Amino acid sequence: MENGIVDPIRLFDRVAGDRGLLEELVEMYSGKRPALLRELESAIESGDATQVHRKAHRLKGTFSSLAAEAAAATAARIVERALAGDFAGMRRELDVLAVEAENVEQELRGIDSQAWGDPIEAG
Amino acid sequence: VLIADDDPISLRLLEATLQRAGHEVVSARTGAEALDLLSDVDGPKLAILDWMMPEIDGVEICRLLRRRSAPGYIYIVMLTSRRTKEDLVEGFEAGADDYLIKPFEPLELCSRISVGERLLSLQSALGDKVIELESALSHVKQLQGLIPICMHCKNIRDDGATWHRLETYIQQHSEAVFTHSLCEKCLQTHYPEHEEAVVDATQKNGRG
Repeated sequence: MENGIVDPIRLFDRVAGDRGLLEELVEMYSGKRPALLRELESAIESGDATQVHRKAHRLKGTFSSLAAEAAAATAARIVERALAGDFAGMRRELDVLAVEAENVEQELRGIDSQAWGDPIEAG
Repeated sequence: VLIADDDPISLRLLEATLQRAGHEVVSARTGAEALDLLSDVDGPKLAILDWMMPEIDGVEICRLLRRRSAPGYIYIVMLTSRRTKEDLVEGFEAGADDYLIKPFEPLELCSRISVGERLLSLQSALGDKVIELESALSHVKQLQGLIPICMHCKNIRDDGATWHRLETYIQQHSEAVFTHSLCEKCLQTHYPEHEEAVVDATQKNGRG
């Protein structure tokens, strides 16, 4: 996987080659992704920069843990926009993040077919 | 080890890494939960805290724990994606013992946790020595202050106005034990007939 959505080498290193753990993380991510994005969107719509900062910061951590650096960088830009009070910029970045977040999930589900031979089933 | 992070994926990854390294792990999803667990006297003595968490931030937990006077040191590692020098300084000033940037490298994390364990072990050994010393000191009777002594017979008056022989009083108030002997002056005064024999015996014993 060289498309830059998820760095598989870094991810395998993080889970120490533990497929069960990777599957668990993928399921957790799939289950929480819609709510996390909704919470962020809701904070932006309500004009609460502090909450946007917190939610985007947490998402940045999530993506970093999953070695999804591009999505983590987008979340980091939302943090910066929140600090600057730039709500129009936050909305633009949120649209980008929503697409990236979906790509991360697809990437994670397919990633282990290369490492272990068969893909993780969708939850 | 207590770990606290509001991101469940980061928390699970951290938990799995530490468990693989043989640590017993307790997890918290909020700052308040973490503080509660760390405030328990028998709670974890090593904590890895995220900075930004609901209810209480990790850095605030550091400040609260360092202000309290409860016994037992808690070694705190801040694990955060806040990476500026100002953040790092604020973390250490709040009382963190170590500071790691997210995402963590498993080997580095485990090495730093080993450092924390080593320091806690040294601190515990030091604490045991202090307890040992305090216990030893409590057995040492100390003579101090103004002690009334009879100007003629040299008896000593205790707090209850009872007079004691000097050696009895000292034995009761110290670890000293007396063995009876005779000084040269008293030998001459009270036992002049034995003076020569006693001096000879003393010289033979190498005290001359």
